[in-house]
Amino acid sequence: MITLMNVSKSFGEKKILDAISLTINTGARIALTGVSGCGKTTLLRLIAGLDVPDEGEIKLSGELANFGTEIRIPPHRRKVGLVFQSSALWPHMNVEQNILFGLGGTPKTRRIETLDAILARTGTTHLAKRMPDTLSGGEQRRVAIARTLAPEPEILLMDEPLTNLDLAAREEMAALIRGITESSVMTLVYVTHEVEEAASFCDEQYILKGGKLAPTSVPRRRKST
Amino acid sequence: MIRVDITRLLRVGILFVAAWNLAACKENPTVVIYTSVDRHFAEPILQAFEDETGIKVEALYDVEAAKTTGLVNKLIAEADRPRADVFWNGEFLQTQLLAQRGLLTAYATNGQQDQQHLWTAFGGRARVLIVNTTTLPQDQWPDSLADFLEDRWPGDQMAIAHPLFGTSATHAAALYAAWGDAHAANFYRSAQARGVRIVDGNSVVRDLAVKGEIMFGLTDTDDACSALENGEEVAVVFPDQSDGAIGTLVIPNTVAMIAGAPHPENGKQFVDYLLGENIALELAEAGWFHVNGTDVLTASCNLPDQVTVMQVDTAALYEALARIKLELRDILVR
Amino acid sequence: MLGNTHISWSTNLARLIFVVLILIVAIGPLISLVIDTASWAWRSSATDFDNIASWSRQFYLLLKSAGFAIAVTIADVLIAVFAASRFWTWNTRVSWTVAALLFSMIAIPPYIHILAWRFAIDWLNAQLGTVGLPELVFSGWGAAWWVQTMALAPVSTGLALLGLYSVDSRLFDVGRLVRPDIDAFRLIVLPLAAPPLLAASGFVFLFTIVDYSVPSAFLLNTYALEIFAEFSANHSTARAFLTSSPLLVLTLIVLALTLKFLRQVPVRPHLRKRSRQCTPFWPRWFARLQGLAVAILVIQIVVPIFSLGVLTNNWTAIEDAILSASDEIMATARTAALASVIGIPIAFFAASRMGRVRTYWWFLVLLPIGLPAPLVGIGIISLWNNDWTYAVYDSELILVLTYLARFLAVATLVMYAQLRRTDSLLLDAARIVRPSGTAYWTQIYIPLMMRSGLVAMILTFVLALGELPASLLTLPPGSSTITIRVYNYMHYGASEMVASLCLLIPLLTIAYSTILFLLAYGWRQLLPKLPRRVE
Repeated sequence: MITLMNVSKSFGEKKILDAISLTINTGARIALTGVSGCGKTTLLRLIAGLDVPDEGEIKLSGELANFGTEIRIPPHRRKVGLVFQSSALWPHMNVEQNILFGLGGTPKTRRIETLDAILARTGTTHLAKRMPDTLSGGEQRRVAIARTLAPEPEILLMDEPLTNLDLAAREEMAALIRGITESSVMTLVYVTHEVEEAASFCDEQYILKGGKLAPTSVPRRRKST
Repeated sequence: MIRVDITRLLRVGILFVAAWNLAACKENPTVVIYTSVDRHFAEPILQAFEDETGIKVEALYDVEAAKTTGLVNKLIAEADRPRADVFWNGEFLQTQLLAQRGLLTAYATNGQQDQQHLWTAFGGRARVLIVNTTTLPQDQWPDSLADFLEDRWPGDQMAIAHPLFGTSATHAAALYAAWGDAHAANFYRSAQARGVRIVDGNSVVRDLAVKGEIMFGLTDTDDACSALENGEEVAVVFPDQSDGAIGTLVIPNTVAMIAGAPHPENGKQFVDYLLGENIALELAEAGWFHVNGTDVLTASCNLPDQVTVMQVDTAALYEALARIKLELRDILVR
Repeated sequence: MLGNTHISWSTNLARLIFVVLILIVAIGPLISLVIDTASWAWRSSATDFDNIASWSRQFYLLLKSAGFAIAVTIADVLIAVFAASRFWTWNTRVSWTVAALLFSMIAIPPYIHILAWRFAIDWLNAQLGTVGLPELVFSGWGAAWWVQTMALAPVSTGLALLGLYSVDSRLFDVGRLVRPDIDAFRLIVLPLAAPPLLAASGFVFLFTIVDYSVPSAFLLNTYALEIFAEFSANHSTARAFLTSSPLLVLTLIVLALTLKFLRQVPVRPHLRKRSRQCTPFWPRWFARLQGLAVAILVIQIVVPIFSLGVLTNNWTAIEDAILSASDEIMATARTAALASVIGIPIAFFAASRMGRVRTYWWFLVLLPIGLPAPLVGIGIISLWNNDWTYAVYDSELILVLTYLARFLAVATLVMYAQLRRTDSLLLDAARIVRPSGTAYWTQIYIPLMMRSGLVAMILTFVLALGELPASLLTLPPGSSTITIRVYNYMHYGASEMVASLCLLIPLLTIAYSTILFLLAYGWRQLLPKLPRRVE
């Protein structure tokens, strides 16, 4: 469960998030929409612990993660996975190494099992030894998802994962994301500025505008293909 | 890959070089002086010459840290198209080197000259012992270079400047001539073996003596006497003055005209000016010269009026210098 | 079609001009030395070669010098990594101010560091003595290592900071979510920041191994002194060049290794950079080492400034020094600035060719780093002191050429490290939209290279300010530089004049860096505004 209480964040003079409060139950799938620059990514980064709010509290599974500017739980202990808009793959590691990085403390045999499973699940087995700069945009995005899923996060944050992909790649990625979210109990926070896209993955939808968060009606969910 | 407006680039380039060349045009009359004499002493003399004659002096000064690879090498490298008119040197062996390489031209003066009138020697700095008077009472002062090997003083309480460079190299060559090769080589080898500090320059020897980090060291009069004049707790001793001893090495300044100099007449005028009697006195008062022949010029350093000078054969020293330096390098640079 | 022909012609001409400039400016002195040496060897008899080599002694000296250089390099790289990782988490402006301060210390000559540290240790010992504690011993290899490490720490830390800032912070962020911050830093950020760090290691090693002044001040002999001893004994450039050849071989090996690793670092641009809002959680040991490294750097700045300040004694001394050395100050600032400005496009061109052409190119461009400075000076005299180029030789321009000959390789290496991190796709994309003209340069290429360009310019400027052995030989009569004036008067110990001038050197660097940053900022302001996205 994610709980935000009166969370505010400013960049210079501009208040991006203004006393936002929100509770997301475990296993819920919510979408955040809004125009570019409205603060959607900032909210994800606050939940992940990569940014610090100016005011307010953030709780994860009932445990206080942020109290104002004080950080109680560092990012790697939050059990959060984040898929960036760009894939942000580590260019000096091959696909396999990118995925294994998050399995640092796991016994070797278990790591290999997890790796094989995640590669198969994301359809990237054939890419395992490739370097990121040799992959297409769609392949990079798949690997980014594989890398995020490997440590089995409890919360999955996705920041416009379908942006900048061609139609076929979008369809493939959408199917992959849908498969993942529907087959697990992960809490999903999905950021997009396309209402249709949001509706296809999520049960609830919020719009961020002028620093405030407001629920919106969810269009009828598109059937998975 | 690179796209620029080439015509504009070339135009700007040509204008730039032309402007620089215009700026480089020097007004006459001018004289170009290269000097290894410390700027502190040489600059006022050059300024006075400029004021008196109206001839603009363009000077280059050497630095101790260049370890005699400075102006002499510049003069050698410029041999095909000399820039300097006059070389005013703080010692004589490097001047002899230039003479041997045919880089100097004869100019007869009234001073003490080499046989071909290629250079004139004047004034002098002596190689002296500087003693820290706080750590060493007068009855324990050394009076000979041989004292560097005496057990009475701990090795690390003595210092000499690196004998590969500067006046210390000249001194080493003189010792080789006076003592013989084996004895001299053994002197340096033994000094190193017993921990005598072989430091970076004569001014460092002075500073160590001033700070009391050594009891005594070997340096030049200008360095040693400057400490005394600053009121430091040091004394200056002419080494090897007893009957039958080799005497103290006195290193004169030398001045020479460069062969093919661009302003020879102005150069000659400067040489004459420098060799005038009042200049030697001025340099003595400033603290550069302390000795002239066997006369001690200044009283400020508490030295005797006369000094027994070590006799040296300049030509012989020059012939042996490179060999001695390499031998000392093999002994000391390890 | 016609337009394309014109572009191709001008491109080729520009390329030719740059190649000729590199050949003359950077490699010319080396070629001239090689020709002189070959001609000397041709004319010489067997006895002329006597005593050049004394294998066992020289080998041992070389080994000792390499060991010393490695020890200094390791220390400087460790200080750089720990300190830069701390600065990296600070506000960007603050950390760049720190970097500028550090860079400003580079030009302080090694002798001044020796002087300052001796002064500081004497002062400390006096304090220790008053409370009955034993004195610190500051001599031998340990002291030489410390002073040399301190003298070069700003170079390595500045370059390490450049490396860390060139890493896209999102790559670090992704790692932080799954592993402790220290793992993400060690396994993601450090490998990606490797190019400037490698360049820093190469500089520190090479600058240490060709410098005799610091070890020599602590009564220690190194191979660099051997070359000076040879040069001083025979005044033969050829013999000195032959004596220096083992150092050149070592330089080649170090450069080859550095470039090999640089080439292995994958090319990946950072499209945007965020400020890190959440300060990394470092383990206690790491934070302590960071604190120690920052403390060492603070000491590195404070000790020389404090010592020089005490030695300067009063403000009047500084005023007098400025007035009496105003010509030198202006000449040095003028020539060093000009060298840095001219050097950047040449370095950029040289760096851009290093990735594409055969290996002899980097060999030629970078080798002068390992050449003893007086030999560079002699090479420049041979090249420029003739009827055709006398106007240049007789002007301050020769100082600019001297600085370029000595430090163009450094600027090239910095630019090459940045080029390895610049995505060619960005440039290709820009070229498709704007195939030629100033817009391509002003809006795409220069902004991409801006940061490393500024660093390379400041580095060239600051190294030129402190240059002594080559400029002493090439300096036109009647002129001087601050550093030469400092050494002229050094004979008299740490006089007020020496201390005041040394204090001026970092101030000049800070002034120049400020002007550069203001120009860079002002120039950006003139560009058409692009919509910015705040997320």
